[in-house]
Amino acid sequence: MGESIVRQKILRLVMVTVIGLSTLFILFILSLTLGPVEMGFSEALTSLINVLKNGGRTSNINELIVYHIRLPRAICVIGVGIGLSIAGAVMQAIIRNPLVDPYITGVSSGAAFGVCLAMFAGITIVKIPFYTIPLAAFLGALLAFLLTMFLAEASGGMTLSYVLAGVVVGIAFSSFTTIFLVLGGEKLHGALFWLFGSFAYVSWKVVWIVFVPSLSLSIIVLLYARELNVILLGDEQAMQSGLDVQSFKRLMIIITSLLTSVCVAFTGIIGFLGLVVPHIARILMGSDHRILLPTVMLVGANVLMIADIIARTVLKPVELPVGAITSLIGVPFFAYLLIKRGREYVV
Amino acid sequence: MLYEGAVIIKIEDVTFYYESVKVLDGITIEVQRGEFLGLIGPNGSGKTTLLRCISGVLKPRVGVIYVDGQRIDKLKLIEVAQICASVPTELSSEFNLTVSDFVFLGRYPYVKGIWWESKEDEQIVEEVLKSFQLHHLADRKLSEISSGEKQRALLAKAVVQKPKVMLVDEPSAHLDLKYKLEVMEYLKELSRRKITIIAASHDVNLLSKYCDRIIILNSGKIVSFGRPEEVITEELIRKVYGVEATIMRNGNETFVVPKRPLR
Amino acid sequence: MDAAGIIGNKLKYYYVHSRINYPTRVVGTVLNKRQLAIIIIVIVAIAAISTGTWMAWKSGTIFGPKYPITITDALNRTVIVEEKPQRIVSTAPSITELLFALDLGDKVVGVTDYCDYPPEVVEMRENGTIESIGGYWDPNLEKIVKLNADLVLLDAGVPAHQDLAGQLDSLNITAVALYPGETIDEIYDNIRLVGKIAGEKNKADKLVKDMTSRINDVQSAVKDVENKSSVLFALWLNPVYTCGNDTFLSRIIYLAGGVNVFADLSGWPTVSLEEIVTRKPDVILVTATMMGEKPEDIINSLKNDALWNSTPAVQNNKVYILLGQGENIFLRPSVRVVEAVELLARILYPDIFHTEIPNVIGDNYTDYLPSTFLTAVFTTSTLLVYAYN
Repeated sequence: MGESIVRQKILRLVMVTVIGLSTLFILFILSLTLGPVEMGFSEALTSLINVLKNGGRTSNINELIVYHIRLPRAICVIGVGIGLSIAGAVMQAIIRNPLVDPYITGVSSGAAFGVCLAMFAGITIVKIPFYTIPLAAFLGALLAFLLTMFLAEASGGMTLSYVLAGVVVGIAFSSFTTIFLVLGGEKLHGALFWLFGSFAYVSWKVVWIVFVPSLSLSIIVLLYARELNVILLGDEQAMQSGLDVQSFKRLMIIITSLLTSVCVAFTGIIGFLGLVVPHIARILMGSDHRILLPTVMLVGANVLMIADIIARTVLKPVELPVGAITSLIGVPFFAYLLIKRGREYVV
Repeated sequence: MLYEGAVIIKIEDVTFYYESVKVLDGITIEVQRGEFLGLIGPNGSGKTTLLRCISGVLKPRVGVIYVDGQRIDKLKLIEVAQICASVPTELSSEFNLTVSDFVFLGRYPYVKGIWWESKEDEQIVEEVLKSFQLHHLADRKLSEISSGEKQRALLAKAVVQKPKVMLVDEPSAHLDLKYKLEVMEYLKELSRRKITIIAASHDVNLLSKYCDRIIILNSGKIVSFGRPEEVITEELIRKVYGVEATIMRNGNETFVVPKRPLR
Repeated sequence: MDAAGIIGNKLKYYYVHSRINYPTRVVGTVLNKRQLAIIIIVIVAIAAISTGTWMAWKSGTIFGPKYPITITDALNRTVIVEEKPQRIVSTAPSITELLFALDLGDKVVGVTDYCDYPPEVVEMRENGTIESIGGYWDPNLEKIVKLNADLVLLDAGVPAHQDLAGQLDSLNITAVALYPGETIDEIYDNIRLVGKIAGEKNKADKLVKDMTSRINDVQSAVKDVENKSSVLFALWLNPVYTCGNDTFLSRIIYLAGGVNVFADLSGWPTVSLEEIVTRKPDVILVTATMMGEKPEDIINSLKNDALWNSTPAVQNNKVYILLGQGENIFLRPSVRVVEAVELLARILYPDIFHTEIPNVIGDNYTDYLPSTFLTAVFTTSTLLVYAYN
C-alpha cells in the first residue's frame, strides 16, 4: 500500500503554491521597479517596506511613486489575472469544452457597449467621474449576461443554449458598439483605448473594487472544486453521481459572469488569458479542480504580471495595452491547441 | 425485518414521453434485492430510457418509481445516487482525469468535507482499485488505458458509490470476448453480494447466460418477463426482432442462433 | 384500488423501515458548511471593499482648510489651489496653446508629445526646458509626478484624464480639468479658469475680449451675404468622415458665415459620396496631414473623379487642403479658434475680404490673416521665454 492519494495531492498543492507565490513575489517587486523613474530591485523593495510601515504617508518621491502608482497597479494585475483565469477554467469545465473563454456569455461585448454608449451620450456621473466608465462597463456586462441567461433558460437551459445565447448576445452588442464607434468618431478614441485593456490608470480607489471581489469570488469557486470534478463526467453522468447539474451550472455561470464583469469593467478586455491559463495549469497539474483551481489562480496572476511587465518595457517609453500582449502570446498558443486537439471537439 | 431482501425497485405503470413520442408505455416491474435483471429489446425499444428513469435523470409524467422504498421523485439526486449507481456505455474524457481521480468521483454522494475525501473514502477506493486490478494504473490518464481497463474503471467507480442497485447500459459494447465475460462475471459476483444489477444489452446470449430474469421490451412495452429459459423462444425473437432464429438449450443455458431477417 | 392500497401500506412500512436503516444523510451538512463559508467570504469582502475605498477616498481629498483659491472644474470637482502655480503640466496641445497665450509659457514644465505650438514648445522640449509626459490619450502619471508639478491641467473630455484626476488627488498634486471646448464659450471658460488659478485674471479677460471682438468683426463683415457658401469639412476622404451639427468644427463654419452641408447629422459621421454630390458643397476643406499624399494629388484626384467633379466646389477650384498648423487651428479647441474663423471667412468670401487664399494651406496660414493681437501675444511670450532662459 503506497502513499495516501489524498496526502499526495495535498503535498502537490503545497508545492505548487510555494513555487507560484515565490515567482509571483519576484515579479511583483520587479514590476514595482519599472517606470520612467528608475529604481533598482532592492530600492523598490525598501521603498515599499518603508511606505507600508508609515501607512502610505511619505514625502519621498520614490516611495510616493511606488505606493500611489505602481503598487495599486501590481495588485490590480494580480486580481484580474486570478479572476479571468478562474472564470475561464470554470467555463471550460461546465461547458466541457477546453476551447472556450470567460467572455462566452457575451459580457465583454456588453461591457464595450456600455462604455461606448456612455461616452457617446457624454454621460458623466457627477462627483465620481472616474467611476463612470467602469460602472458603464459593469452595467453593460451585466445586461448582456442577463440577456444571455434569459435566452438560454427560455431555450431549455442546456449547455449548448448558453453558448449559442452568449454568441448571439455578443454579436448583437458588438454591432451596436460598431455603430457607436462609427457615429462617435473622435469622441470614442478613449473607448478604443479601453477596449484593448490597460492597467495604466489604476489607483487605490479602484484596486479594492477589483481585487477583493475577484479574489473572494474565486475562493467561492474553490469551494465547489469537487462539484467541478463531477461535472467533467458530462451532464447525465454527473446527475447520476448525485449532482444537481442544472442549478450548479446556473450558480457557476452567475459567479463567473460577475467575476468577468468586475475584471472587464476596470481594465478593459484582456483577451486569451482565461483561455490559455487553464490549459497551462492543466498540463502542469492535471484535471482535479482541487489542485487545478489554485494552480490556475497562481499561473493567471504570474502570466498577467509578465504580460504587464512586457507591455510596459518592450516599447519604452510608450506603453502598450496589456490586452494586446496577452493576445499576441495567446493567439499562437490557441492555434496550436486548435490544430492539436481541435478535432476532438467537433460537435 | 419483514421486507428485508424483498423488493428493492418497484416501477408502477410508468409512461414516458420524449416531447410527444411515447417511449415507455405502462411499465410495471418489481425487482428483488440481489437480483441480476437483464433488459433486452431492439433499438429504440426504451431500454436506456427505463434505466435513465430509474437513475432519477428522467422524470416520468405518469406512474411512480420506488427505489429502496422511497418515491424517486421525492428524493434529491444525491440521495438517489446513494442507492443507484449507473455504469454508462462509454466515458467522455475531454479533460483527461487520472484513473484514481475518476474512481474517487464515485464517492461524491458521501463525502462530508468540502474538499478532500476522508480516510474512509480513500480506503474504499483503494480496496476497489485493487480488486479491479487497477491500482497500478491509478496515476494513468483515462485516455492512456485500454478499453477493457476503461470498462473496469467505470465499474470500479460505480462500486465505490456503494449502491444497492447498479444500472448498467451495454456493459460489453466495445469489448472483446474475454473482457465481455470478465465484466459479466464481475456483475454476477456483485449480485451475489446482494447488489441488484439491471443490465441492458443487445447481446441476448450473454444476458441469458448470466441473468436471473429477463425483461423483453418492444416499443416501450414489456413483451415478456421471466427466467431466460422461459422467456426466450423462437416465436418471441421473430416477433420482437423480426428475425428467424433457432434456440439451442444446453442444460440451464439458452442460445439464440439467428438465421435470417424476416421480410 | 385495493391492490394499490395494499402496496401503499407495504411501502409505507418499508419507507419507515429504510429510514431507520439509513439515518445518516450527509446532504444537509455539506451544503451548510459551504454556505457558512460563502457567507463569511462575502461579508469579509464587502467590509474590505468599503473600508478600502473609503480610506482611499478620504486620504485623496485631504487638503488644508486655508487655501486661497477654490474653484469647481469641468468634472465638477472642487479644487483648492494653494498658491500661484510655478510648475504647470499641460496634458493637451490645446491647453499648451492656451497657457502660452496667457504668457504662462515660462511656468510650463511638461507637455504632451503632440504639443507643437507655439514653435518654441518644440525647441524647449528638445533642449530639455520642457519634458514630455507622454501622449494626449494616454499621458503617463509617473512622468507627471517626477516633474514635481504644482498644477496639472487636464482635458475633461478624455477618459484617461478623468482617471488621472483621481490619481493626482491621492498624490496631493493639484489637478484641474478643463472643458473639452466644444463651443466657443467653453474655450472662453477655460481661458478664464486658467487665468483665475494662475493669477492672470486680467490677461485672461483681455484675451477673451479680444477674441470676442475679432469674431464679431468677421460676423459683421459676412452678415449681409445672401447666398451663404455651403461647406463640406472632410477629416478623411476614404471614406469621407465629416462633422455633424453639434461639433466644434461646425460652429467654426457658422461663425465664418458658412453653412455645414451635413448640419442635419450629429457627431462625426461617415457619409457616402452620393450624399455629398446631392448636397452640392460650394467649398470643400480637407485635413490632410495624416493622409500622406501630396496635396496637389488629392485635389487632382477629386478633379478626375466624375462624381466629385460634379460638385460646385471642385468645378470652381474651391477645394482647400489643410496641413500642419493650418489644420491644427481647426482641430484644437483653443485660442486659435479665432484664426480658424478668420481664415475660413476669407476662404468663403474672398470678395468681401479682398484676399486670395491658395488651395493648400500649411504652417504659413497667418500670412493670409490680418496681423493682430494674438500673433503679438505669441511673439511676446516667445521673447519672454528666451529672456527667461
